[in-house]
Amino acid sequence: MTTALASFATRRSLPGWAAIVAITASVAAPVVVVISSILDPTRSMWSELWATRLPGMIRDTLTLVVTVVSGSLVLGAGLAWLVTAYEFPARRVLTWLLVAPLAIPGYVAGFVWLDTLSGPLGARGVRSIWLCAAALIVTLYPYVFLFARASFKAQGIDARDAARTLGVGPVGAFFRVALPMARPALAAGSALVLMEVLTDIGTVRLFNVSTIADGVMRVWFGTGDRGAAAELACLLVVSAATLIALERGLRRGARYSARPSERPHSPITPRIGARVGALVVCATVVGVAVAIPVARLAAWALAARRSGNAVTVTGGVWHHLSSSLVIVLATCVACMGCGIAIALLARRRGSIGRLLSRLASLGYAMPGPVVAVGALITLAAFDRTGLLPDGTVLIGSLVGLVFALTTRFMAVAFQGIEAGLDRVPQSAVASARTLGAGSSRVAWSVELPVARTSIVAATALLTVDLTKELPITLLLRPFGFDTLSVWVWQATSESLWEQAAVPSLVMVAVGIVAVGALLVALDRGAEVAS
Amino acid sequence: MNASVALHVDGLSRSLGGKRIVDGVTLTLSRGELLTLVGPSGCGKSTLLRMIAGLEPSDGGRVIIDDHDMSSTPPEQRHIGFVFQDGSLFGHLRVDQNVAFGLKHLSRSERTARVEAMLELVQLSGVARRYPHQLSGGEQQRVALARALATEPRLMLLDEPFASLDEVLREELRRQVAEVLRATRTPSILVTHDRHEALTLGDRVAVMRDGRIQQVDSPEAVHDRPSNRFVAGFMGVASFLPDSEGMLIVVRPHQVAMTPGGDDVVLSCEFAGATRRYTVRRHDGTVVVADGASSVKLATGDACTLQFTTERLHRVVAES
Amino acid sequence: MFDLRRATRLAIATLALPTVAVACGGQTDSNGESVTVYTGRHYGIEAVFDEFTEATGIEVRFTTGSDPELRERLLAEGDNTPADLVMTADAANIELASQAGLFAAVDSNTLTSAIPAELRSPDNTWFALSRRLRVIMYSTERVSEPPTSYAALGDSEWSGKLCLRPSTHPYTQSLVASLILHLGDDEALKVVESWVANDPLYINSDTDILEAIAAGDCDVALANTYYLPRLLADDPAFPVAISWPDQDSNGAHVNVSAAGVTKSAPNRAGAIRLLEWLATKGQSTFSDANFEYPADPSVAPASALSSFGDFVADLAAVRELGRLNPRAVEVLSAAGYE
Repeated sequence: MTTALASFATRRSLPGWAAIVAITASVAAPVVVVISSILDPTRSMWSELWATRLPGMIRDTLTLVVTVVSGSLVLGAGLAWLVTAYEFPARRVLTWLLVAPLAIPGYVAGFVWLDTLSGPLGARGVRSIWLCAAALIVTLYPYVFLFARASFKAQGIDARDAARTLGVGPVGAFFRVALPMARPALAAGSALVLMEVLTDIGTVRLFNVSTIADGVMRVWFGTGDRGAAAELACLLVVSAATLIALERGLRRGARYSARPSERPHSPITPRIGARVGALVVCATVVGVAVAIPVARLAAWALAARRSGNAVTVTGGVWHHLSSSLVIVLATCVACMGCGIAIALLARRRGSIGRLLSRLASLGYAMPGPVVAVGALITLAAFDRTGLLPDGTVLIGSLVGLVFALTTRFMAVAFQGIEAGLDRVPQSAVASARTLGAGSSRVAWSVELPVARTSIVAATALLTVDLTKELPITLLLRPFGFDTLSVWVWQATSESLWEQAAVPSLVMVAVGIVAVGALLVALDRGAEVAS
Repeated sequence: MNASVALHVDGLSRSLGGKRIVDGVTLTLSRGELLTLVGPSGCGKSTLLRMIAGLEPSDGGRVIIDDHDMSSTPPEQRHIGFVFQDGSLFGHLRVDQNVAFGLKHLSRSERTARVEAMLELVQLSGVARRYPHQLSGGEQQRVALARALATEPRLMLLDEPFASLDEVLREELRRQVAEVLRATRTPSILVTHDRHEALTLGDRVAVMRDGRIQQVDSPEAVHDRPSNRFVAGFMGVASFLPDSEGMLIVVRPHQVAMTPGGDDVVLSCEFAGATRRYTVRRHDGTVVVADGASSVKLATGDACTLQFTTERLHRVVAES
Repeated sequence: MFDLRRATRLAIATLALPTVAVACGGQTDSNGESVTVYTGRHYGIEAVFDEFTEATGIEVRFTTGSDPELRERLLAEGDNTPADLVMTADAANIELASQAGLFAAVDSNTLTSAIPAELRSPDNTWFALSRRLRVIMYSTERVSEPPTSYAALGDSEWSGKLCLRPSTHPYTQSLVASLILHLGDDEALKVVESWVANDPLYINSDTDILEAIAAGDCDVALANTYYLPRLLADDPAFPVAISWPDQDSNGAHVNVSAAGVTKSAPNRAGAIRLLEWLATKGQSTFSDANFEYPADPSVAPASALSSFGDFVADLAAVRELGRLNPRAVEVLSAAGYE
């Protein structure tokens, strides 16, 4: 490995390479710390778990993953087809609102649904794996929706027309052409849903569903054995990697990225009945996934205001909002900066670049609290080296927190940056080179401008994720940096739902703005590409 | 209605943004006939084709296929074949699966047999299990043709199927496609902007401009006896000379013979292989394009004499 | 060859930016003395800290989190920790932190005379500040003769009518640890199994457990005392009441909010002053903010608690809860407790 690195890192670019490798290594370190626990397995934990809870955990995890991923696929792809293929009233606004559930954190949606449904279903009836899956589907389907919508738009109408002239109706064309051709996009969206379900702790605990991620926390808090908990967490990483690799393998030789269609995408205007139908379907989903939770939160916020205990934490809304925004901003800058550097490298140096980028993305496949502890150990080790000035420590500093969040969410940044860079034609790079531009000038003047919209989209998605993030922020935040999510935690950990309403609503508002930016960026990007 | 008529288009119109893209087109296609529809870019020929297929709505007029009024029938029920400019093969399906796409109603064995026959017809039996991106552009278009023919359509519509191919490939494919269409006796309309293609392939040629059909006739007639000045100019190089009755005489370069010396003056000269193409100013001031033999070489400014070799030259109405 | 200098500079600049931000704004004012607290008990603590600051001029800065996660943070930080005082919401968690060597003993007559011996560690590394009892709660609408012992919750009478908090929660673990202390592993296992046999509804929130009783989802449950006055404050007719368990034997299970001074506290003197304040002048404010019972038996509990009456409390078990925690987890797991 060392020789391989040395052989392509020429003298001139050595400092750059060294920096990139160092960045990757440090971003991956917390996860590597956790994974390295496999080397010394806790046999007793595994045999005990296998005899008691593990089979049930695996069963519940699989049930939940299969249900939520397929549910998100049906809902996300179906809705994406409606809003791209057909013209109907309020289509644009509904498109935006259909992505809005992303802005509602799972742990908020979870308690809203639990509370809302325990009226009609009873406290016992509501705690079921199926309702947990339903709650996860209505918060996670937008990942599939976003990817599917982009793919359907890129397909243009030629494929649909070709199918129709071969005797296949619009519905058949959807199932036999548009859907299979969107498969890589559906896989990418499903992968995100898969990660979210595998690493979710907040929602599953509310519904009494014992998944592997819940088991990680159970082992850790129950026995205090961090090593054993980390081993269980590795099971999650391995399952995620296996499922994603399996899908890639099944795709075999088929290629999906058709040339950009000559004829730009244009929705058709169906008969009035179908138009009303599409409107009703979209509005219903928006109602269930957005309007009900938001209305519920608003009602709680008002009730809290009336009873005069809306704010029981130190500092008001602005304090928490600004803490959230500072953390979001700093982490976005760090993620995008490091992400762009590594992604550019990955483009130039295939195998090792790809290895580095995969390594830096691992944190997304682990539950937040596990990454938090990995980061804690890594930062503590650094603090003990004495490299920092006296009295300065990284744990509990903004730098430490941003580092840990970067570890967890680098994958989100990468995915966007790489998608953007993939759109840069090799011919553009080649012609820039023949015009005398060096490799770094190509990056600044050709590659990054073309990838700009994707980078904006990834930043928007990061903003949504970071605003919601809880476990890492909770454990590593600096004094006084109480974010909106920390406020929600303080209230909900005492079951004070009413007092969690105001910060939840503010969080949702931030997220919805970011989601709007995301859609605009994605559509601009599609225009640039065509 | 005549039983030999495969398609009758009657007063078909479509406006978009206040512009009439297709303007009252009436057209008839006989069984087994290959009609080429030619015109400059943006004349509405592709839109007309898509309207016949039902892929675009019409504002007025009728589309009658095999004596059935299909004006409001969705495309999937019109039983037509369509070949798109870029093939529009389904990238997620193998070649054989692409060809089998429209054959869901057949039994498995019938389907396999049909796919094999079709691929043999377009001489692509060897690539049945490949994916489209593994084929050349010409092969992809042949697969698209096989896919469209496999459903035994009442009517085949081809929208500039050779436009994205290079010159050599285009010649070869053009010949093959025409053979296949004639072999299956499928009534077809082929849209092109290339007059050479239109003339060589079509049993009849329809010339379109600004949403209207200008002339439908045999290739010879369209070329030699154009109905107006536009058709004359679009279907070949022509010089227009005013006659005494206010008409224009259409002169094709091959209808002129050149001899050195005389009152006419050579303005320019291009070498074109077997012939040389001259632009000549005649003694009366009119300018004529003429072909001369390669062996005789006249330079710019040389004197010459032009003579028309055809007794009766075709005339068109003067206004364009 | 590819030159990444500019990209690298960008990356380094982005990493440096937050450093500058935190250097400018992250620190509290350096003139005044301050005490830093990590606290797992985060409900209503501002009031007592404010009183302390007003009286002594010492600022209190604190960060909240769950007990085990704060313990991980302390372990990782080691000698670098900024924490002076650590507060937990559970007896086992404070003892586990003590066993991990995170605390230094505090030799203070003020503390030893205010806090009964049962409510502080033998080596004086931690001191309980308030008592939180985990008791039987029942529906006043549907239950006329509530169970009077923890074991009685296993009677088939309560089959399908019992609400419990999941085994992941320290409150559950500590209660079972006290059963193990009094009954031994085998008998404790039988009790827990009898609960499980009643097909309990597991709810991971005491408030929601009480709401579930009111809504008719269950008739009897285990919950901490202080949640009931919170709900009664909103609705005086809330149809749930306390049944003090094991009054003829060991007494009701006592858990505690407790605190210890860290081994490498940057401000040890300040931490001790805060701890002493919480154990004396601050007792009422600290306990009443959350309707807990003061650790000092001479301090009167909040008036809202008077209606619950007197009770026998199981003080003897408090110091053993940490030691018995791993066995409690095993018993819960063996019984199939969710």
